[in-house]
Amino acid sequence: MSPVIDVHGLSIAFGDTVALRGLNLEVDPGSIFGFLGPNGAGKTTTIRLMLGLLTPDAGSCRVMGFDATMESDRIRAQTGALLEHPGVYERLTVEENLQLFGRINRLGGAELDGRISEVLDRFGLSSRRRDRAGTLSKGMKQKVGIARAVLHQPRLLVLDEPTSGLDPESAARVRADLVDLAEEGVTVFLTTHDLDEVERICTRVAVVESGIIRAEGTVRELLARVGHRVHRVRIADDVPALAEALRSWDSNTSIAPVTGAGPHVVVNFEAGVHSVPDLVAFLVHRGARIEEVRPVGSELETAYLNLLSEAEDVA
Amino acid sequence: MWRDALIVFSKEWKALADQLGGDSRFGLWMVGALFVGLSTFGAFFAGPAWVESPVALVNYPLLAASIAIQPIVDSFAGERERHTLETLLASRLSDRGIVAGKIMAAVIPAFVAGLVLLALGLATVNLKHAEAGSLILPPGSLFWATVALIGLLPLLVAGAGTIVSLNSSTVRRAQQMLGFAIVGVILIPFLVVMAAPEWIRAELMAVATSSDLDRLILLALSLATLLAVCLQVVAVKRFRRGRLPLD
Repeated sequence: MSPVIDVHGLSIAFGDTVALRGLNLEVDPGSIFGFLGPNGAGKTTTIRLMLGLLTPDAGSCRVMGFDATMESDRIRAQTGALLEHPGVYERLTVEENLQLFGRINRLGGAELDGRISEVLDRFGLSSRRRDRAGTLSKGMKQKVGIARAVLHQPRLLVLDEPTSGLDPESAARVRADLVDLAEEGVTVFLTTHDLDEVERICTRVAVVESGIIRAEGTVRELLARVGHRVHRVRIADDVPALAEALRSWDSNTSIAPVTGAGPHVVVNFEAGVHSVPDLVAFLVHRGARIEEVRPVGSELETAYLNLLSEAEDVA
Repeated sequence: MWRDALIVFSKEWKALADQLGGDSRFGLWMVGALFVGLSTFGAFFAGPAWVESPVALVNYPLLAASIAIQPIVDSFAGERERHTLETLLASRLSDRGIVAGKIMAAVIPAFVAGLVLLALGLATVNLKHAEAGSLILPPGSLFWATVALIGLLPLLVAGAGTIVSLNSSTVRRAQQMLGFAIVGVILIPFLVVMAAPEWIRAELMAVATSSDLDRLILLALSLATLLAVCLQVVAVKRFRRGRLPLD
């Protein structure tokens, strides 16, 4: 099966600032592809190149088999996009916004009315359909933007931080909808800073930093490569000489007293040479009474931060 | 292309209609009242001379052109400022459809308003100065030339305004640039004429003061049409989706 998005050696610079340096990317049909990276890494630029809103200096970008420079009109015809800003027309009502983009996408009459009612229901906007978009909250505008992107049932959905500004319930709903859409065969390309979201719904992930893909694969593959998760172990008493023993046992381990909580100490441990059970056995052997062993942050978050730190070291 | 242009035009029209009834309606209606005043004041006092003079009638195309300024500077710079340009460009609308729709949204209301103002001017002259049973009307060629210019001058402004708005980061910046361009359009021909050899100036003066009104009208219309067409072509060429500043 040929990839829906096929990017090779994509490069672009804005004056002296190089935004992408030979980016390579492949996205399979029907997948939810998470495109991660810090601010200014090149995520929005990549999206703009995919939609023909920028012209690359070098490299190729094919989306659904069409060249993003020469045939971008055909790409846009089959793509729904929510970009950096919701892009809603504030002087138009919610319904008029959807009617406008429905008509742009060649929908009309009863079919358009039906689709509008459907997406308004889906995103909880029915009660606001006649309100001017300018009167909506940021989250509601975001929902209108997502509704607009899916209105014409595109083959590819490009979403730049779709759940940003949404309340937890709406964000969960959007995530569930994206999974449903992917099951229906829609390819979803999304950027987000919510790594928990990526871990939950993305089938593949790429991490971009300074315009280069630093890692790509399934979430599991990424974790296997750099996902040394930090665990925090809480010990009831301050065991004498434990800090020194721990340091000589594993240099990836640190120990600190818990302030204002009696004689408790916390051990921060990153699995590497030793595993979490190894640590627990070591501590018990030294006479420590363990109260709690808890992973810190999400596993993907750790992997992501490790990747960025690796990239920084290389730079 | 025309389907897309009509979609863009209807969007702009809805936004304008909302403005006319919205928060800024007072200001807009005041501007409207000013335009009505400008179109009837001269007619009221000058009488029949008002409709027989090309100099007086040229006011109406100028009023129409000034009506086109705000919508056209807002066309792309305004979308950029309100962060809707990227979404519009990411849609399946064709390049030419977007440009044509934006130009139509500036020119059609200006043309209609210009005709209404012309009608008001003619009505004022007739109500104030016509004798019973007679009508004061401009000579046929002058009337139709005025009507044509009411369409052509806004089109000319719209072409120039599109080019400016395409690359302006804000509406204010676009307004300033278009202001400079308009001054340039007026000033440059004047300077060229002043710098031209004596015999050319004499020839031009002879044409301008000749009683051959039709020749003068034809010259003005040809020049306006040529410029308007050139500017539309440049505007369409300058609209390159992959090269436009989005932020």
